[in-house]
Amino acid sequence: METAQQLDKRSLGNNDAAKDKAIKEQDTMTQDTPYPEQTVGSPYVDDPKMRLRDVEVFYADNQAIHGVSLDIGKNEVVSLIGPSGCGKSTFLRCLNRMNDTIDICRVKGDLRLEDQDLYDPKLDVVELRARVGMVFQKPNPFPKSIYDNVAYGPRIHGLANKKYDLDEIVENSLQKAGLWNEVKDRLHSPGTGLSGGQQQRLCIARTIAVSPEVVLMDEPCSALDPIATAKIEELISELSESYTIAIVTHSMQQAARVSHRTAYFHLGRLIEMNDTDTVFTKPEHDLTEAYITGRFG
Amino acid sequence: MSETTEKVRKTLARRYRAEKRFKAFGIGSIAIGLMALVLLFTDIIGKGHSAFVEHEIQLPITFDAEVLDISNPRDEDELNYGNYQGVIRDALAERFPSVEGRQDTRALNQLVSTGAGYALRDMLREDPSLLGETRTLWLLADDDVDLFLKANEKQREDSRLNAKQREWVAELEASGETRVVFNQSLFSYGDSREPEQAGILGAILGSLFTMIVTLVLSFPIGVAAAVYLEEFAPKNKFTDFIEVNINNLAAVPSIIFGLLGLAVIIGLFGLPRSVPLVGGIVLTLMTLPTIIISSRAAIKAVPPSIRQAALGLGASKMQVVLHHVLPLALPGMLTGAIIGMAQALGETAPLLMIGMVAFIVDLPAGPLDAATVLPVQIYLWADSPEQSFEALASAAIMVLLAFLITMNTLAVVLRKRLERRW
Amino acid sequence: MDRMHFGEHSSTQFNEALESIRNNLMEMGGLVEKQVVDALQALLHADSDLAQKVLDTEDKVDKLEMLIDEECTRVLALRQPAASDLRLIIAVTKAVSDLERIGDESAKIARMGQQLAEEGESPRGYVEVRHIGNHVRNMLRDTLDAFARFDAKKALSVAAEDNEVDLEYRSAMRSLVTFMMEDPRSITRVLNIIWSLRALERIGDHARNIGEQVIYLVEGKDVRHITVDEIEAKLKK
Repeated sequence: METAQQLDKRSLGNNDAAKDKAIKEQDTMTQDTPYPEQTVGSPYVDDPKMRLRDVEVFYADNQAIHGVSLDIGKNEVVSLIGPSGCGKSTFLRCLNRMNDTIDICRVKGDLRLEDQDLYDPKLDVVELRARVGMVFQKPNPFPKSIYDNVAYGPRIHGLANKKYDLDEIVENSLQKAGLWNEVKDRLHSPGTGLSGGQQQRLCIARTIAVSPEVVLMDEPCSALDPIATAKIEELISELSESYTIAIVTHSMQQAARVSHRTAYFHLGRLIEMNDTDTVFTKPEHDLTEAYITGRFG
Repeated sequence: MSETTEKVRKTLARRYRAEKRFKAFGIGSIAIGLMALVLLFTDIIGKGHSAFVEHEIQLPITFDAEVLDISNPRDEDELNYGNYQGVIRDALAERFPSVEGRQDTRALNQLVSTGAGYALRDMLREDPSLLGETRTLWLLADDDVDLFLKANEKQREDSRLNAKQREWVAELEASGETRVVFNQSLFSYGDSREPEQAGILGAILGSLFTMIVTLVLSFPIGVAAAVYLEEFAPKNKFTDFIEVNINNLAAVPSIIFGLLGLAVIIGLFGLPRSVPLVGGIVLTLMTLPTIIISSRAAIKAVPPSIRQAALGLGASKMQVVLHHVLPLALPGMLTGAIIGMAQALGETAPLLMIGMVAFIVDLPAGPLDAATVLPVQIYLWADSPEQSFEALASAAIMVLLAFLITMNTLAVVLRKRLERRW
Repeated sequence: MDRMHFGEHSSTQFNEALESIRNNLMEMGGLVEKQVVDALQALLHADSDLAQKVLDTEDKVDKLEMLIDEECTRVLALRQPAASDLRLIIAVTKAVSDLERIGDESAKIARMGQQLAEEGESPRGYVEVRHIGNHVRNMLRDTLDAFARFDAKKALSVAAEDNEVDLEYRSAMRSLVTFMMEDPRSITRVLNIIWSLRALERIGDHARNIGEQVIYLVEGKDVRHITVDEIEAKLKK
């Protein structure tokens, strides 16, 4: 006897309607709500910093991202939200090719930073990551001194020739990250000795020390207490004056507070992308609405 | 009291009993382990402690030029061929004038170690003016005399000394003409047929050279292999195959490595037998899997967040490994290496195969001199018919254990000191 | 109106809080609707007992208003509602104050009824009151209905009806003013009727406001301070 799943699989190749149905049935949470054929809202902007089209990501044979297209504008804070496993982190990690470190991961599509094709085989990924920095979920300072943490990037990229220049970069970065006053007297004590929030700001300082154009943040506050979170959020707003920022967050309130535009991901698809206030007051798509208002289990 | 509490209470007693049983088992096994350890130590120390001291006999020695057949004490050749035994014989004859007959004289002469002559030669070389003078000297006793003196009343009955010898020794002992001194020869000579002259310095040096060769070869190779396998190698069937084989290699009996060394390194490459270089190479083969496995574990233990942080900043793969992974993994790698070394230090079987079991009196001066190693020396002595070698073997075991304990302690201390928290 | 599933949150407490707000709003709407109907009756039939009843209900309506506001504040503080939840809370707080005003206006009408009962009936104006009163009553009922069912179309029809009420109010004013000029003795009594008409017109405006909140709640579009045609155009976009 054939199971329903097998039947579904067989019919997959036959017609698209059956395919849609099969996908819909997989998704038990939102059985009634179909995926939009195209992303609703306004995913594109004029003169984008990053132009991403038809991005598809596969883990071996599993497709994690299905044809996502969106733009990230200059000096814009874009937040990516969605339930766990929706592919928002995976998508973010395509933007500086951190997915390269995973052997079974393949990325398709047209991803551009200004005119540079991110997946151009001629492009050195080291150069790309100097332009697109990343801040991670867990504060992860190197087990070195505060100074060395910040100076690491400039050192490996040869951004400073003299000790004096390096000192200046370190001070500037720490200033921008709002950490200078707290650590200026103990620059040579270990970075791991700071509090969680300070560590995360140190990581941000470390990232901006190489003067990237885009800063990617993967749930930067999920390990922090509310006050540290508030400081980071304030920092993000300040940084958006000079950097383009894409942030993945589990906290919808955080997305609402810090971002200009919000993209809602659902099971590997970009459902809706809109101005943040639109998403949080009158989202266009039912799935977004359901997620924003907390109607998923 | 609710129903649940009642039910919980009933099961609680059972749970506590199970816990107690488990604890008792644990304590029992630890006790067994400790007992085995205590037994081992008491046995070894009991047998071996006497080897650290030896007995000397006081004799007035006359450096008679005629007897010695030395005219010029500054001439090295004459010194070396001097008849020192004759001087000692004369001294003994003087001490025990009543002894007559060839058999008794020989028995009397056996009281002093054959090595005592060398001591006389060395004295004469130091101070040539001694020629013709008489000095009261302490001379090394023969091993049988030494054993007899160390033994208690009951054990003395089993002594290899004959009745007359026992009488003489007892007389010397009674008149205070014997004394106990620290066994210097144990730490300053190589192997010898005479237990009182046998030392472990040769074996220690042999072990040292072997270990240096092993460390110099196995640590860089092991770390490099581990880093490559962990960080750079593509994950495919081939690397899986290699991984499985490394693990298998760790389980291969060590004597197989000895056979390999004999066939390939000595047979094929023509390196000399019995030398620490070959021993080191063989032990490297044996230690490599241990170092690779522990190094890989240490590399795996480096938190991925650190790697990601460095990658995210634009560090290349190589920079990530050199700047972050290696420094963080180093304590673990060192620990693995030291434990591998300790294992190699105690290894006998493969070295037997490559001829490091030979009887070698000379101290090795480098990794290309024939030598033996501590565990092999222990094996040799434990196998010797002379009773005194038994104590020597135990003493050597104690020295070996001291080295092993030092190395393991070093591993722990290194890990503690280098380990960084993140 | 399939997007307005306020009962499907992961948090049952949240569901209950929203449900309670809606129930209280509906209860308040019912009370106010009853007030309007009773006030009209009291005015038309010079029934001062009924008028007193309208005035007595006032207290209950005020308490409900405060209760709903408190519930809304609590939801805002504790749940940080977003999207339709947020719009519901905003719409409810606004609708509540409109309802309370409607209550005030019907109280005014009831007091006019009492005065007329004391001073004698007005010679003119009852037809207009009845006519506009029916309109306003329908509007209020429809708008509450639209709120209960999240029906933007019906809310839009309320706005359209308000325009008619405004027209009728102006024509009634003109004829009553003319009448007063002809018969100055009746000015005090007719003025009572005029105040009542004025109150009814205000009730119509408040009903329209509530309708606009329903449209905001359902469609997420702000349709205040524009004409009905403009509203329609905005909704079609």
